[in-house]
Amino acid sequence: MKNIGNIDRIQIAMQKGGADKLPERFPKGLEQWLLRNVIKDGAMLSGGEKQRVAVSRAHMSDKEILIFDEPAAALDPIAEMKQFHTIREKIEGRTAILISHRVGFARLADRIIVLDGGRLVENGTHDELMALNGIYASFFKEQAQWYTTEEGEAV
Amino acid sequence: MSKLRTLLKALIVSVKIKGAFSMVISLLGFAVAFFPVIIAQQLRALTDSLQSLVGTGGSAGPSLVIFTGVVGLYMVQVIITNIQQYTNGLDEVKIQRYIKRTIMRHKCEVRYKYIENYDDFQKRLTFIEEYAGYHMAKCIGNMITILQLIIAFIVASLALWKINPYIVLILFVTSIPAALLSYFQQDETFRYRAKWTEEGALAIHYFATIGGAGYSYAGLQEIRHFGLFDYLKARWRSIADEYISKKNKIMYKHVKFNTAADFLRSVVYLGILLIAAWSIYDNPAIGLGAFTLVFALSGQLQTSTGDCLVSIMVLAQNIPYMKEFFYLDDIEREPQVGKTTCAADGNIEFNDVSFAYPNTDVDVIKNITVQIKEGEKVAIVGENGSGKSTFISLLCGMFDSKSGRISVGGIDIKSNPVAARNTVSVVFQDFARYESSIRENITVSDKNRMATDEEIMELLRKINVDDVVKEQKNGLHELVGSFSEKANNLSGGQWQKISIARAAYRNKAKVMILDEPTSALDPLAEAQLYRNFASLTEDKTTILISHRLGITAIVDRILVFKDGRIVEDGSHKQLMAMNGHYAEMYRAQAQWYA
Repeated sequence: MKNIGNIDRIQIAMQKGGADKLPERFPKGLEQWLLRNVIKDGAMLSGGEKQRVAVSRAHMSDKEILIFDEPAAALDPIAEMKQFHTIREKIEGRTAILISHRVGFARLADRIIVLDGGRLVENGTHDELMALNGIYASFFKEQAQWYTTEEGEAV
Repeated sequence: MSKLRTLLKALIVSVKIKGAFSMVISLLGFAVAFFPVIIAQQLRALTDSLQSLVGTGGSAGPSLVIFTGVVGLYMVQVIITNIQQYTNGLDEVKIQRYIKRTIMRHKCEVRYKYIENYDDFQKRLTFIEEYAGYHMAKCIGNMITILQLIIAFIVASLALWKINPYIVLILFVTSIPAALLSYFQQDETFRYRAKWTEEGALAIHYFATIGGAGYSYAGLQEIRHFGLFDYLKARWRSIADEYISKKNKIMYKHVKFNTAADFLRSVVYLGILLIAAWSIYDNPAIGLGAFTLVFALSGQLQTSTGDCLVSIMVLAQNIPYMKEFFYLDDIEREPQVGKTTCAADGNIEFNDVSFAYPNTDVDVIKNITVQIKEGEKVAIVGENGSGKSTFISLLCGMFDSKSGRISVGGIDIKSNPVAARNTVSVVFQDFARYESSIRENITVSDKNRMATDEEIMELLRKINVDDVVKEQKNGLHELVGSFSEKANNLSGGQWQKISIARAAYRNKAKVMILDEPTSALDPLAEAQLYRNFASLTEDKTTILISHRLGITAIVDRILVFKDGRIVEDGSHKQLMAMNGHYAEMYRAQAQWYA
């Protein structure tokens, strides 16, 4: 809140959140009102665009801990990849907790925690948990199989 | 002329809504309009009779008879007037319900572009919901009362005219300024409200965001976490404060003028009594009773003249409210035909379709031509904002394309969106969550299909989402949603499974659309769903929107959207070989699983 009018900071946060291109779409730029259902001239954002704005919002704060709950669920593959990379790069030594169903990105994290039925059941790096061959490994294999069919190896 | 049309429409609505009882009372009300004059005349006769007693000391019998008659008339008048007030109250509630019903029906039947705020629809709808509906209910209820007031005015004027024509003239002329004052005050309030509707809508929105009851709870955690209460409250308050301060200023001005008007009215009343006294002094033959008549009737006439003029002007002045309400009747609705029709096949055709959202001039769909054959399994992929969801909205007949033609199973979507929708089953990205049982949450998609609990469970098993029901104590009959008794709100993933079951339940559909159907599911549940993809989609034409490109390999054909156009079209193999946009996106994701 204390930086609500700080344009520089807003622009940096929007770059981190992948929303920096968004104001270009509107004549009023950053000052464009949203919510077309309330205001006639308001803009309507797509699901992915809303998510970029929300993630940028989290990047506005200088708090020590950042929490991202499914920050890329509505993003396209390229934007998703950038989103996860930016989070990894831009947290600048702070603590970040990332919640995701996209298991592949978990290997970007220093540590992976697997919860099941309200309990912490696995805890470790990607390699450690793969070696453990538990829930995480089964999740990873479930998702990986879709990319290993036919030319899946064409990476 | 259009004003007269509006009034006529309102009168028709008022008569349509009235029940038989209320109608009879209204008719009796017309008879009661004569009562003030009859009572005043009886009081005059009573006074004359009493006066004659003073002089001659005759029998009091005739006076008693008149007195009893007056008491009887008063009683009848009081009873009918009160019953009429009661039925007016009932009618008003009925009218308000009629208005609510009409608004709801229009929200569901207008062309969808209005929901997206075409023609400033949201502002107009807010205005109708907040003010116009209320005023219209008042006005419609008043129409019969105005006619009764006019009759009361005429008979009272005739009675007083006989005593002294000046009384009637003075009463009438002096009522005009007060009536005008009242009229302009209401007009000012109206214009003020109309001007404020937009800001008002914003204030309501802020209030709801903070957590108004009955609104979605989305974002509440975030508002609490970032400590945004004070910020949002301040936004809400600045709008609300300005509204209230301006409104108070207007109210204060009105009070000043109204006090002056009331003072004038009292002076006129006393002046008229003086004229009556003078008339009797001038011509004692008309009797002392004439004073009683003027005393009883002129106050009433003063009130009824004012009421009558004000009511007529208010009615005239409320025509904009009513017009705004009847505006709903004039806007384009989706043709409500083909409610039970369903297309014979699942072929989809887009022919040179372009589309821009209402109030914008940027095309988000650009000259798309594509055919999807019956039974084909197609995936749509592309970047955010490339037009994927808009393509689906067009296919569901939500919007009119700017140009080109869209058809499903040969049914033209624009001219017959209802039948086209019967042909299509959808899992929307923002699927609905109904406050009801799980069973109803599934079966709402096909009201004509009567399935037993066993049949529904069989369906859920087939598409592998039966675990949601098994976890509930009451199974399919478990109440879900944030209003349910135990606030048994399901998780996002569970709701998504229910929405998939809802789409599958519509078994007569020829086309199935799945817009990111697994976004809230964990990897195992997601894999299970796609493994059963064939049993979910059966032989229906299927369109799957997904950012999970690995999964798109299970479909026959992939359409790649970019900037409102289809830039690539082919099987996974073909597109990978093409090494274009799709291959790039695929590799971006696949590397994480290498």
